[in-house]
Amino acid sequence: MRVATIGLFMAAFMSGTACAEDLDLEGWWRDACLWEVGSNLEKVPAARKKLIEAGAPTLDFLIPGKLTAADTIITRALSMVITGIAGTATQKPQSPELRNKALAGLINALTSTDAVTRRNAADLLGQMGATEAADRIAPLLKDKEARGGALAALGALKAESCVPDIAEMARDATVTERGRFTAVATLGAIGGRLAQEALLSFLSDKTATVRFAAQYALEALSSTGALVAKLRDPDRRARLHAISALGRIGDRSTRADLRPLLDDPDATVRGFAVEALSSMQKPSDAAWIRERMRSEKDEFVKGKLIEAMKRVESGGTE
Amino acid sequence: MKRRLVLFFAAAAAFGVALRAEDPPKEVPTAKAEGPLLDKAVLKRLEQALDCVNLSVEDLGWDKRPLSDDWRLACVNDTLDHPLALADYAQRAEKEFADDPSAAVLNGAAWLDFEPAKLQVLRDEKFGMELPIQPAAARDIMLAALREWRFAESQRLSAMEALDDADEASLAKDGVRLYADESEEAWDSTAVLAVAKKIDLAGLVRAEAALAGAVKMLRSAAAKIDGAAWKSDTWRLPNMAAYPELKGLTVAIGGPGPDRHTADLVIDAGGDDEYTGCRFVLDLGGDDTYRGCGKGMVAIGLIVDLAGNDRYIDKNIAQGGAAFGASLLVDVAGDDRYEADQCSQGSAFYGVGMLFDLAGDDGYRGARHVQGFGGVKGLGVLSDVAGNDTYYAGGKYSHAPLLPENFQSLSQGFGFGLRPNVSGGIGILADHAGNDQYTAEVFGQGASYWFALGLLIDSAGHDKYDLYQYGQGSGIHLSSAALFDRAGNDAYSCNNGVAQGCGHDWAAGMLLDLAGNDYYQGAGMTHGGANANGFGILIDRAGDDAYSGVRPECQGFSFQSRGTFGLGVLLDLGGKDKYSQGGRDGTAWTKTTLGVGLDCEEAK
Repeated sequence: MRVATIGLFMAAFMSGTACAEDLDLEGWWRDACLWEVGSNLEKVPAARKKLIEAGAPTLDFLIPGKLTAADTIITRALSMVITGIAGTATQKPQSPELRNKALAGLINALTSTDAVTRRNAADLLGQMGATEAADRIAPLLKDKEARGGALAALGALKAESCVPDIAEMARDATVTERGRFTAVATLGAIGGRLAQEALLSFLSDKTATVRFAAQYALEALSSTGALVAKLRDPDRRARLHAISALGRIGDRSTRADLRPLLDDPDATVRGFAVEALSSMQKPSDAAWIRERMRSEKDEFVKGKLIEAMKRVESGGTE
Repeated sequence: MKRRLVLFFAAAAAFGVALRAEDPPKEVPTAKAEGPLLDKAVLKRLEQALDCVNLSVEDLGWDKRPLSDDWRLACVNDTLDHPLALADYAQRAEKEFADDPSAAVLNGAAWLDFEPAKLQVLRDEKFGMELPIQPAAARDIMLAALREWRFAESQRLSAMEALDDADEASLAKDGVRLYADESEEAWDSTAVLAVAKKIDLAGLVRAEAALAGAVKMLRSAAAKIDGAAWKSDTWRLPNMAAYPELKGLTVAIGGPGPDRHTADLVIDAGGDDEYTGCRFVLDLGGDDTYRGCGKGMVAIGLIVDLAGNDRYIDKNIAQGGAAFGASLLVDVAGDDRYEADQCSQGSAFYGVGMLFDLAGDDGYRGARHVQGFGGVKGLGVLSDVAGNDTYYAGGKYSHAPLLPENFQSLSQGFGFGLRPNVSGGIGILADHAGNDQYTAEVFGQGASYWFALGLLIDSAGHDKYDLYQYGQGSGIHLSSAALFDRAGNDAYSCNNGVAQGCGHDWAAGMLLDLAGNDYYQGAGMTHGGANANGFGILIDRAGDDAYSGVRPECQGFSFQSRGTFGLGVLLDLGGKDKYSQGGRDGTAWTKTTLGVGLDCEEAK
């Protein structure tokens, strides 16, 4: 009896329409889209789990019908459920058939007349790690309403072939600010020599969000060599970004490059240098910190020296 | 006076031509003579602070509005694009929403993106009818009140001209649910919002302007009345083809003793009266109780109470609360108590709702969306001109699932849009004098959510601000807000962060305190904090202040989120101050990538 039941279930499951009338997809989806906080902490994961276990009927239910959602609470649910079924770059799918089913549906949705659907489809393909879809996603970089999804996907897929187009987008003054700094962040997600070169140029961008996106991306790539070269950049903003990034990367091999900046005539540069060096401090730093605490006039730099001394005193290693 | 009024109406009726322009709008006041609140001295220090995190004042205009919709107000976009302008808006609000309702409405029109001059309308002076009211002074002022009512109502009706019967039924059935839904169940607001788009908001502003004009007229007329001989009575107006707006209305005159009124329009000479369900009231004195009066739900409502310690008890959309309508409450004197549930005490969505309390130590108590609240296309203003006042909002609607043990407030200078695609309005609470106490739970006290603007302004006194979470000069999710306290030794307390000058998620927030020895207590993101493309700033210009926070995420703090930065700034520009998280007098400090604090004596 038990074997027969399982057999029936498996047959229905494989057919992709199994017991659809018994599945409360609408109800589960409603719960899956709630905010996963407080009293929903158990309800939301439980609903998502049921949707994932249902497999093929859930994919039919969500793709493309539920891809029209713009609210991030719902797109988060889409992500959890679809990747739960179709897998990611690091997580196996329930089955190759289900991955292919999701893949086909999402690729088809890339040409939907609804922009949000196109954007979500691209984003989800990226989350699935569907490298085979990269060429189908890339054209969406020209799609003003859906390129946010394309950027997220191409970053996740590390589509190096798209770096020139993405860098161009990041430089394009007609692109929205959000589009520009997202493109910069995508360059960081993709990585590689070309992306790094482009990112360095954005440290001098006029727009603060773009500059900082470039700094964060270079930090994530641990681009120490390139950043050290930027320490001598004529643009003060770029220099400060480079110092800050090197401090946050914390590669001690860059200490020698940062040390001369302690004597920079620009107090802000000195303060940044103190902070960067103190993030990779050695006990022997106490001597120069103490010395500079006596001679430094600028209050910002003095504050940074005090913080640095506290760090050294709390324990650093040679 | 009596004779003049009778003759006036008789002559107008006889010739039937006397049209005159509505009183020309007052000149909209410009910024205070004191100059901008953020003057060169502040900007110089701000520039100094921003340099410590590789930014400049010019950089603050980074994009904080990646979405657009048809409901957006210009002041919301402006303050997101230029977050330092929040100080200018607070300064304007302090000046423009004070003790003159007429000026406030005209000024408010500009906040709602209308040119005040274009709201000018012609008033039909030929109005007149036979009323069996004695004495003549009572009849004359009732006639004047009816004329004002009709004028205001005609403006409201003009706003609704494009609505058909089905639209009106939709508003009646679901309109209130936009912000005063008690079921807490998800519902589709698309149909109601589609109807709302057919409403001519300018007509509702004109209706509010007409109500404000009525206040002026009624106060002036009341000053000359001796109602000692008035006898209480109620009449139903006859149906008059010429005046369909007055069809079925009941009117009442109250004598000098205590009365119980239920008529639509009431003029009462004095005594401790009880009003229930009245729509348009002038009360000359006594300690009165109002229940369900002056409501602005798809309607106009007006209460003018000239004296006495009064009590206002309502549920929703009352006490200067409007939804698809216009509502005005003016209490001229006395220590008054206001109690309501939702969308009241200077609250509006799709319309204008204002409450002016001109004197006395007053108490305001409500649950949610009260005390200066603006929902979509709404301007809600509470202006309390004098006295030591207490404000409480919360205690009823749980903030489950996030904080099931705490209650929502969304009040006390709060703007609120409807996520994900409907921008919100403007909520302003302006308290002009006295030592005041503000208590709210989740969301409040110069705060906003989703493309809206919230302002709390306190002009004087030693004040206390108590909040659980989200507010005190904080924009939450693509929104902007400010708390401006001009003077006094003030105490700000927040249990759970995102408060005291914060921008949370593409948002801008400012807490500006100009003077006094102040105490700031917070937890989590407070004292100038931001994340996810937000900007938050706390500026304290003078006094010996203390900043207390157990967690390090305060006193000039930001963190990266969703691949974006945020900028949190704490500027203390005078006095001997204490900081719990590392700041000290005469220095600058930074936290994370883009959190900065600067303590210094202000540059002269």
